[in-house]
Amino acid sequence: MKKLIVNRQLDIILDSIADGVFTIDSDSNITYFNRAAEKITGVPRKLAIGQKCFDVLRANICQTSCALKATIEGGESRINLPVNILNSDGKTIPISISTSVLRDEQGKIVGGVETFRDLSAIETLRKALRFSGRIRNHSADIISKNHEIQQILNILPDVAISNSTVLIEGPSGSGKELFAKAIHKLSRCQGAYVAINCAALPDSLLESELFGYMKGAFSDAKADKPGRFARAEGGTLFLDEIGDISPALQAKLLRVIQEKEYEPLGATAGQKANVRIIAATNKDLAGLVKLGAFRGDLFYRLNVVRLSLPPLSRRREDIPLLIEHFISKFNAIKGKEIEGVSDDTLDILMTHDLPGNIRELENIIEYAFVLCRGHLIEVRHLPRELQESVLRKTHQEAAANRISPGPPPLGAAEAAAILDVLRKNGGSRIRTAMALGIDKTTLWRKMKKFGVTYR
Amino acid sequence: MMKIAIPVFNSRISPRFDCAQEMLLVDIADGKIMAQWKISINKLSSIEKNRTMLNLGVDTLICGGIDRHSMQWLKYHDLPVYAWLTGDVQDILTCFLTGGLTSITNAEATGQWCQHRRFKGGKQNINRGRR
Repeated sequence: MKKLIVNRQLDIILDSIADGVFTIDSDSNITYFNRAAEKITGVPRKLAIGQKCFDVLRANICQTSCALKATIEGGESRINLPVNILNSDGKTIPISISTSVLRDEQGKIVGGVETFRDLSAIETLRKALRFSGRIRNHSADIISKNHEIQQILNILPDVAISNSTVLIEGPSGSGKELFAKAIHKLSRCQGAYVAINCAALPDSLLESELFGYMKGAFSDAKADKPGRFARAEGGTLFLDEIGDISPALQAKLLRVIQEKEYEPLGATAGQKANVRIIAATNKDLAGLVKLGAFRGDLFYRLNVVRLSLPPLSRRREDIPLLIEHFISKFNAIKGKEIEGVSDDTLDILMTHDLPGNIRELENIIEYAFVLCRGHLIEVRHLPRELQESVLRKTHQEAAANRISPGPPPLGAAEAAAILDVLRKNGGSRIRTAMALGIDKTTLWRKMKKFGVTYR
Repeated sequence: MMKIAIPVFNSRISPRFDCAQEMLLVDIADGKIMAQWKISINKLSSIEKNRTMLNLGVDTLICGGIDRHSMQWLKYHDLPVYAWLTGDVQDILTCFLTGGLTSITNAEATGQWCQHRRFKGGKQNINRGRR
């Protein structure tokens, strides 16, 4: 009776602790399983007892180096050994285990006892820290404090691990490939990142580049050549300028995305494609679909996740950061010690339209590096066409001011007053001049000066 | 002829597909075992094990515990899976041949304790859900 009470107390104690505890006999059959063990493994106690411990715990070391078995055989305890188990939901749970032998009253080894602690929370924190580091590393080339870009960067890790097809839209030079590379790196996939510019190759060549060809497929095919899909197996294929591919190739691409299978030129059987596709375009694909120039079904297949990158003109706040970045980059590449750009140069770069976006800005800085011998990039180091365009713009503005100077701030108020009185007097110049207390010639002169008309 | 794969641990089904060291491949025709042989998969990562199933032309996978990612991957590639089984491999094989197993590839449930309800036959030690 007394022993029964002691056992019940022991059960209560073991069920109260947060660590999982179980015991096994010499045949690895579970003889005790506490409440925390149920919670961590997801296996009810009544089903666990009597089972082989490896069929319940399903730890990664069960089949190769079982710690409990080693403890029972060698008598040595293990403490805080990090392993992982598969819980009943198919989820991998990191745990730390400690083992020791179980002896009867005579000191004979009758089995083993294992305690284990769920490390999920710690591991989640560790991963979060590691992952944020990865984001910083993998998107290190993406420099921006623009809110649109920041929003994209925030969702980038989720997009990366989703393995979904991504469509990146944005004008030429806005950094589409940088985002594609960042997605690939963050996705943790094993395969390679392979990029191809669909607009750079003629249709027939693009097809053989994408899908590869078999020996004898055409007269010059002297050996099998794997395509970009094969090279990107298990990885990412970046299809730049997707809006430029022909309808025939669109149909073939659609088949690869739908069926996960393609046929190299000259092949008699299809090949499986386990490739994540990231497509990019500087065109309005939805608009092309409406015009019938792009297949709607392919567009919807590609458009699972859409990232729209703004042009640099919509993120001018990034220009100084980008200039700084490119100066550091070219200092390292070209072995120079340029510290920055002059205020005038920065003004020009900030006001220039930069239709080529970030790529154009990078080229401007690279050009300036060629000419700059000092520590500061001056206006004279900028490309001539940029200097000329700035000069032209200044002249145009000045000319525009000469033709239609517009009322100065005080003049604007004066013009508004004249117009108001003209309206009240039904457009009569004489009554308006009298009301304003000025000569009608003065009124005429002021109306001409401020461009005021009333009919 | 169909080919089934069973990750094994000695004479038992491997408790974890992603950590299995050996794979038993069985050729079956007209409800009979035509050939069976083992291959080593100890150096393969989880995703490589998944791909091996396809590369070897496996029609069905019979396994113990399986992680969600592998389950989804195999489901995506239309490979029927009988999972969360325990016990002696030959008993499970017999059970499969007599139609006692139910594939859970298309089932919403992934966990072993849900699968127990789907298990239709076999010896008591094959699956503790039968207890």
